[in-house]
Amino acid sequence: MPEGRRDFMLRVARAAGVAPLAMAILEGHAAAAPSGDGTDLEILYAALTLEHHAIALYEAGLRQGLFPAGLRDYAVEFRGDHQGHRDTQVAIARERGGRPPSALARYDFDPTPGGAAFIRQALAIELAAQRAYSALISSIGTRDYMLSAAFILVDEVRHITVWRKVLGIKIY
Amino acid sequence: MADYASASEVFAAIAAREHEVDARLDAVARRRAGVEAFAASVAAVRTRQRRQRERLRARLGVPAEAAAPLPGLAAPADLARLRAAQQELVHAHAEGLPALADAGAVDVLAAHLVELAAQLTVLELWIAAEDEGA
Repeated sequence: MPEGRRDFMLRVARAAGVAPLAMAILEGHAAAAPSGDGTDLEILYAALTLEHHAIALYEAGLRQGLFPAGLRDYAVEFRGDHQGHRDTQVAIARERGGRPPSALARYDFDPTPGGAAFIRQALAIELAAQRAYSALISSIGTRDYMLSAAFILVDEVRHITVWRKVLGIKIY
Repeated sequence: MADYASASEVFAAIAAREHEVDARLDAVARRRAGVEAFAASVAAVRTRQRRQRERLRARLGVPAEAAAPLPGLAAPADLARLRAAQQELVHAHAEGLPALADAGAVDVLAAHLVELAAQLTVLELWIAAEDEGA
């Protein structure tokens, strides 16, 4: 049976190391999450974990020359967006006295020869991030963080739409 | 950045910006080849999103408002101005989320935001392709 969208997002979130409370929200148990600063921090950490994952994927692709030459500029730009998201969320977490998670020491990505196969992997990570932000956003209790998450969501959709077009997938 | 105080303000801002995007997209579609499929897709999404917003409006007890008349548009068929109007519509959704104060409403408008941001990227890709071809 093919993996559903939700299952896929959950698998990527688990692989990236998302913590239990945010995983519960992603799994559809938002009611289990108390409203407040603690939940916001857990959501921030989950989002940050996915950003680290995306940055690592783009870094690996750029370092190993896996993006086709004509698409390198997009990869550099998107890596920069994710680095910006990471820095924003680290700053928000620290402002609230949190201890934001660092990137994992190592990420295991599916081996690919590069080109379209690698773009599909980048698309998969972007889709997981978009679905995670979409699932988490209504559990955020703070205005500024909700705004930040909304604009990050816009960036994720932009990345997804560009990679879909590159892969010849319908974009409207 | 707009600082909305209520769901009513958010819905009004969205309706006004939709109105401008629709007028500009209509003008662009009449002047350019190959825009019909995109315009049809935007129209279908718009109809569904409006219906969902009406349901939210009813649930949240936000009174319906008469649409404000659209002022005359400068260069209505200009693609860059259409992109700018679509960006305003995306921003109205993003900036409006915190003012909704209702998790279900945030979920619905965040889903709309995702669709509108994808449409915005399509316009950006068209503009980039035209710039490259110029």
